[in-house]
Order: sequence, then structure tokens, then C-alpha cells
Amino acid sequence: MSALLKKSWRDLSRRKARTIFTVLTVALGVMGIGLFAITPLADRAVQGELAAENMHNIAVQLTDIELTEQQMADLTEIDNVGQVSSKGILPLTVRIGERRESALLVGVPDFDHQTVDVVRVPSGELPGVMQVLTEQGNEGQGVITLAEGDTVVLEDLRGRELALEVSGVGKNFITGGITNGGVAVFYTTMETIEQISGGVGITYLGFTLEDASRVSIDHAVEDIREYLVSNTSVVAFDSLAEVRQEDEWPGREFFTTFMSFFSVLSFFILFVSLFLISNTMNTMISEQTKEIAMMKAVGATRGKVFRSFLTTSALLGTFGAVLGAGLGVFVAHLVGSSFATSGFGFTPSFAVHWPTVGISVLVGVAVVLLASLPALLRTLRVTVLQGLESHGISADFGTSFLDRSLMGIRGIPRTLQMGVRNAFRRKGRSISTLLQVAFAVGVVIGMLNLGDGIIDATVGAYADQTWDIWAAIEDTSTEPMTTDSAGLFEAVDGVAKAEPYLLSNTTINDRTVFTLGLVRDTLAIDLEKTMVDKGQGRWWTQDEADDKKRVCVVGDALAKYEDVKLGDSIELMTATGAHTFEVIGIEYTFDNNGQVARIPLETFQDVLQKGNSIDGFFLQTDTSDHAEIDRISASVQDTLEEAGFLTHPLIKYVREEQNIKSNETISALFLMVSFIVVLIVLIGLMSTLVMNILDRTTEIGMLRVIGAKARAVRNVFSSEGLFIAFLGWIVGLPLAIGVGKIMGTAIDNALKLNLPSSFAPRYIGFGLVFTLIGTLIVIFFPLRRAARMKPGDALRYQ
Amino acid sequence: MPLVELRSLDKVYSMGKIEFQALRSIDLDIEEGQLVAIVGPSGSGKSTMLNMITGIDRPTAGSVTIDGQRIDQMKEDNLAVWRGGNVGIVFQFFQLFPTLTALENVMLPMDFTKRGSVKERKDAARAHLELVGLGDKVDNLPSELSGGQQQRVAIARALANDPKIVIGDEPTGNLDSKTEGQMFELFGKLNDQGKTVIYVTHSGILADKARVKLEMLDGQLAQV
Repeated sequence: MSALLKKSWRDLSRRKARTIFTVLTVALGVMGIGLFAITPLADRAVQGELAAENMHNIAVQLTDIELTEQQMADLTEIDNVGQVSSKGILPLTVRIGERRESALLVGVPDFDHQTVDVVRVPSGELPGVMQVLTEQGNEGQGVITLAEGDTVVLEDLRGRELALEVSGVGKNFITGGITNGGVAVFYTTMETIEQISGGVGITYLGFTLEDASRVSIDHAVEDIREYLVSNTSVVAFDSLAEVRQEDEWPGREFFTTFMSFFSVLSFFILFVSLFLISNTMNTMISEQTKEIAMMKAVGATRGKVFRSFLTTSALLGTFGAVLGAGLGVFVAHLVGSSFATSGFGFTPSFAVHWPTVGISVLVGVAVVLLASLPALLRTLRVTVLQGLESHGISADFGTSFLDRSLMGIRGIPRTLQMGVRNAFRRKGRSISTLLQVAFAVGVVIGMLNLGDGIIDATVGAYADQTWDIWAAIEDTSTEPMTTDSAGLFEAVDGVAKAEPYLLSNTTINDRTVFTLGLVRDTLAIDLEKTMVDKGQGRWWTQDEADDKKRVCVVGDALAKYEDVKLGDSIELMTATGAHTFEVIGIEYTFDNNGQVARIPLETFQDVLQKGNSIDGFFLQTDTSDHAEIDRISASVQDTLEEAGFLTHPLIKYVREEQNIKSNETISALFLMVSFIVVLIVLIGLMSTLVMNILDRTTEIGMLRVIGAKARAVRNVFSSEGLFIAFLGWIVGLPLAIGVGKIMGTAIDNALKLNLPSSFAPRYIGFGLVFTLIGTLIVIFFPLRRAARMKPGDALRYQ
Repeated sequence: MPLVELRSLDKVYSMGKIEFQALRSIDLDIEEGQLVAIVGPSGSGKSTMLNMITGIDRPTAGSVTIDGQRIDQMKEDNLAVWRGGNVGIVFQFFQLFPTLTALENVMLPMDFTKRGSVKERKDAARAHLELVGLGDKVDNLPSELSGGQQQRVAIARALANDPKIVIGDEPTGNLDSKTEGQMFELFGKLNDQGKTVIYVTHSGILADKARVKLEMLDGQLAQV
């Protein structure tokens, strides 16, 4: 090892604490890059799940049909179809203690020979007749916890209780995801389904395709529809066929979009750590000005000195980057697992995305080298004589305007006065630290305000809806519900008005659109706010509804996504094929993230070939009392059951609370990641104070010599740290607005949602308290060190 | 009773695996009102002995009694307060606080000992600065003063709490010969006012001006 290389290595061990700080800072910055691995890792994990289950490319929902073995075989003969499987899905109610929750019982014809959308059995035995597997997500999502050998009590439409034994645990990516909405899912045999429903019970067909490109899928959907309509009792698909192109999976777009916000945070993290790294390298190199001069004096060329310090930087960068890349792998796994478990009901195995690791290490080393360059180049320009005469910290305080301004601060104790003035003796370092604090304050307050914006949008979305109870009728009811059934609801004590609706997802250019057929004078949506105040165009007339005109009102976000303007014609793919509608209004709504279409009920019934049948009713009650609404909901459920209709009414206030809670979780997650920025900044602040204490060790000794107690020394340095933090907080406030705008723009670009901007005054105070407390915590150890210095040691320090 | 009593004083510095004995079995008495010079080559232990007398360093063995108080047994904070009130120290490199004006530098020891009201401290500091001939520089920062002026501020600061002992650790080592003379005049004047003045110097001329001259060699008092 050459002497220069040895020097580079030993320079790192001379100031161990600072080396550790720097390595940790680089590591935290690089760790942020690791978050980029979440998306590809999640994609890989989900693809693995889908491959293991042989997930469908086309799935169709049907009303209880019978298919012979020959017909099943015929379906596989359809051009491009690979494999087919059927299932019988029965909506029921599950008893959980005293509560009744929605449940789905999924019948699988032959567990041993499943082809498409395979239900796997992680533990236990395959179910026999009147036995079930409990979906893994039931426990994961906190719906219901059951173990092998337990008995689960389900209730059918007729109020009949069915006690089914749990034979084990089952899992399926698609049906498992339903537990996310609080629905309990169980798997059983088709014999059990038949025994319970009394019918044959095929309600679902899944197809894999040989060519899963968009065009081929569309052709296959039409061929399948044609075959089923021609050869079976199927008149139309119950809802739009679910299609999945090669490598796609449900929720992928949302997940990718969601993760892109993390990318913004990753940049924030890297950006702020750049400040700290630059600061540290600057100090380290400036401190060695004298040594650089000595190296030159004994014959080292500028190139050699440059290489020596560059090697030190590269060593620091490598240590930090490798540590950070390692941390990134774990953080990506933790965050990714948390999403996979909560969002998709499975726990991915530990995996490493090596391209991200490689990029992390490279970026880490490069960032440190770049951050070192300015200080190194500046120091190299110093002559031998200037370098040898260098005494480290400058003693020219008082020459700048800033110094003079700080000297104007009077009326405070002398130690605080010294702290305030000392704060800017190393102007570059202090300003950089101040900006870091400002950035952290900005990011945290910006995130808190963004969270408020999200919650405000959620509250707004519900405020735009004027129903209290949403009574959706399950398909298994004895006969379809029609618009004439309003009387049934209005007879329930407390129901003021019942309004029919038809709901079916449609797609436009593969984008799923939450499509509602509504009556003209709907009470389900606050038209005054969403159309008149903020929207464009108009609602439909009664004549248009009566004439079943193909007109629609679309959500603002959908219009932005698909570049739809008033008067445009759009083609919506429905369960009965593609239909063209004229856009007569654009509604400003956060409902379903604005990806909605509203169609006259009569038109939608016509399009879906539903006759006079509907999917349920929006109910308005005559009360705002939550307990009373709960009671009315239970009465509606009982009344409908007596009339032969199964419903699990949604209560608006409950749904709103759940939605707010889940959005609060998302906001908290953003906040948690932004705390990494805070962590880096706190390390930076601590590092700055440690360096300031080292710089002024002799002064600490002198303070002790002239009678300063330990507390006085602490006061000098704590006031210095707090003053920088305080100024950082002030500068951070306008930055918070900027960060909020950046994130708001990111959300607008990604989700086309123009979130209400908010800047809550309470966060200004919160930011100050948080900044000062955080500062006091991180400067505790440096202050203790300063206060414990023995005057003799301090005066001898060089 | 002597003002300064050093008994069997040893001081060993440990630097990694190497130990360096800076003081060896020093026994010394200094009476109140003395003007004492300590001379000797570099590394002979002069500054270390001053650090023992001021409580800046603690002995490895032996005792340090100043004005009847065992300062080597005091806790660090008590020692700082004692030092602030009883000893004024002037260093070769002045050691002024660069962010404080001359007046504030001189007021600082009084702030720590909470001597009088703020106004009284200010008046006293101004008087000390007048004494060292810097009455017109009270609001100047150290960076706005010459080396000699800075050292005079350091002396004014050393006098802030009216200490019994004034210590100079090569106080003129960084000054030109003219300023050196002026400084020494000041020390003489303080001694005439009854203060005990102890200083380390390399200058034989300055050493000869002391009433007591102590010579150190290899950590021991070679000649008293």
C-alpha cells in the first residue's frame, strides 16, 4: 500500500465519529434509492403468484348457468383460448359474533385438477362436502380468524344457518383481494354450492389465452360471448368481462402510480443528504489545509494530493453506498411486503433487485465524489505558505453585514448572545445546515398538508353524495329488483326516499370506469356542487332519459385522462359490448378518484339489456343520527330478506370513516418516509454542532478558564444549534408550500385529481416545536461532550 | 501561610502507549504579593506547573493548595467558579472570543461569577480597559485590534474579577519587543497594587525583572 493510500485510509480513522456520521448519511441517502426497487420487486412477486395460479386473461360473471363437459371442451376450442375453468360463487352472510358481514362462498369443481385461477391450499386438507377452506386474506385483512377444525356459520338468503367445518386455509390472488373490502371469502366444492343454492351454480368462467394482446383479447371476448349466447342460457354477461393482458395484473397501474410518489421522496432524501455530505467533505478538507500544504512542501504534486483526498472520498462513498444499498434492500422488502400483505393478501419472499442495488452503489460513490470536488479544488489552489499559516477557523468575525446584524441582538444572556453570533462563524456550513433544516421542515409540513388535502378530498367526495344508505341487491335474489320496488324501501320506518340505480363497470381504452345509471333528479349526488359550481356542461333532461338517449356525464379526472371534452363522443365497453355516448357534462368529483360516468338510468338499462331491473337503491333517511341510521339499515336488510332480496347495505358515514382511515394510513406512510429526510437533517445538525465544537475546543477551554460552568458551555452551543434550527424553520415555511405544490402536481399528473390545497396554521407551530425538540435531542450528546471537556485538554487540542 | 503551596506534585501525560512525566515531585511555596518568573527550555514543565496552580490541569499525584483551598480535590464546576473569581490568566495567543467586543470579552468573567449588576460589570470592564489604555476601543472586535491591543484586552479580562493571582503563560511571546515592554510594565504595576503575579517566559531580560525566578528542567525545579 502506498504512503498516500495509507494516508487516505488513516484520515478516515482520525475522526471516527465524523466518519461514521458521513457513512451513515451517505447510507441513508442511498437507502432512499432502494425504494425504487419496490415496484419491480412487487411486480415480480405478483407475477410469481399469478403464474402459480395460472390467472385468467378473461373472466366473465354469469347468472347461474349449466355447462356440460362437452360445452366446457367446446370453450377451449374457441380460437386463441388456452384453458378454461368454472366456479360457482355464492354471496352469503357470515356470522362473526353478533355481527353479520358479507361473505363469498367460492365453489371449485375439482380441487385436484384446477386449470385457471387455481385456489392453492397452504395448510390443512381439501374441503369435502359442507366443508370450507378459509381464504388466507380473511385473517390477514382482519375479517375473520378461523383455524382448521373450526366451524363457520354462514347464512343464506332464506335466513338459513349453515354450519360449515373449516378444513384448511386456501389462497387465490383475485378472490383473496376481495377480503380487502371486508368481505369474508371461503372455498368449497361445487357439491356444497349446489346443496346450499339448490341450483347448478356456475357463475364464473376464467379463460387463459395463447395470445393475450389487447386485440386478441377483444376478439376472444366476442367469440366467448357468441358461443355462450348461442349454446347456453346466457343472454348477456352480468358485467363487463374482466380482461388481463400479458404481464398485467389488477391494481398494477394504481400501485405503480402510488409508488411514483415514493420516488419523489427518494429524490428529496438524496437531495438533502447531498447537502450534508458536501458539508462534511468541505469541513474535512478545509481542516487539512495545513497538511495539504505540508504534502506540497515535501514534494507532492497537486495531482497526488488530489488523488489522495479523492481516495478518501471514494472510500467514504463506498462504505456508505454499500451500507445504504443493503439498507435499501431491507426497506424495499419491508415496504413492499407491507403493501403486498395489505393490498394483495400475500407475503412475498425476500428478493433483491440487483439493478437497483448496482445503481444505488454507483450513485452513492458518485455523489460523495462530486460533493468533495468543490472543497478539494479550492484547497488545492492554496499556496504552501498560506496553507502552513492556516489556523483552521477564521477569526475575522464582524466583517460581514450578517455578523453586524447578529451583534445587534441584545438583551439576552451573554452565553445565548455568544451562541447566536457563533452560529454564523462558519457561514457556508451554517447556511447549508439551515437549508437542510428548512428542507426537512418543508417536507414534513408539506406532507402533513398534503395528508389534509387527501382527507379533505375524501370528506368532499362523501359530502357530494347525499344518500345515507346504499342498498345493493345481491344477484342470488329470487327475482331481479326493478324500479317499482321503491315502495318496499319507503315502507321502512326512517327511510325518506329511495332512488333506484344501475351499476356496472365499463371501460374506455382499457381504463375501468365506475358507471352509474341514475334517475334525472337524483339525490345520490349533490349536482349543485359537482355540476353547477365546479363542473362543466349540464345534466340530462327527462326527455333524454325517456328517449334512452346515449348521453353521459363523466368525472373530471376521467375527462383529463382520456382527453374528453364537452360534446365529444366516447365509446364505453359494457357487458353487452361497445356503446357510444355523447358527453354532455363534466362533473367535478372525487368519487372513485373521479373516474366515473353517469348515464340516465333508462339509457343504461337499455344498453345492458336489463329491462326494468336495477341493482339497488340509494336511500335517504330522515335522520343524521348514526345509531338511528344503523337501525334503519338493519330494518332495510330484514325487510328485503323477507321479500326475497339479499342485501348488505353500505352506510355512508361508516364507509366515509373507513375511507378516511385508510387515507390516513397512506398519509402516515408518506409522513414516515419523509421522516427519513428529517433523520438525515438531524444527523446533519448534530454533525454541524460536533464540528463546531471541535473547531472551538480551545474556546471551550478558555470559557472554563475564566469561570464558565458546564451549563454555561452548554448554553453557548445549544443556543447556537437552536438558533440555526429556528432560522431553518422560518425558511422552511415557504418551502412547505412548495413541497405541497410539488406533491399536489405529482398527484394531479398521476391521478388527475386536483386536491384541495391546504396550509393548516397549526402545522406552523407544530413544525417549530418539532424542530426545536428534535434539535435538543440530537445536540444532547455533542453538548455533553463540550460540557465535559477538561480545560487543560481543551486548551491543548489541535 | 503561603498563597500557593505545591506538595510532591507529579504530572504524567499518557499519549497512547507512551507516558510522559511533565512534573516530578515538585514542592513549592509562593507568598502573596510576589512577582515570580518561571523559566526553562521547551518541554521542561513550565506551562504544566502554571496549569496546576490555575486548576486547568489536575496533578497525577500530590496536592495543590491555593489560599488555603485544596483545588486539586474540587469538582470541575466548582473549580471553574473558583478560578473565575481568584485567578486571572493571560495566554501567549490572547485567546479572546472573536464574536465578542473588547468590552464584552472583559465583562464575560463577571457574567459567569454574576458580579454586581450588568451596569456595574460594564463600568468595571470599561475601567479595566482604561487601565490597559484601550478606553477608546471598547466596542471593537478582536479582529479589529492589533496583537498588542488584543493582549491588553486579555489582561483587562484577567483583572475582571479582581483576582489575587495573575498568571501569564508566555504573555509576551507573541508580541514585538516594544509591546513586550509595555506589557511587562503592566504586570509590574499590578504587582505593585498587591497582586501576586506568576509568569512563564523564555526571555532572560523579563525573567530578571521578577523578584523570584524559578528555573525548570525535565519536570523538576532546578533552581529556586
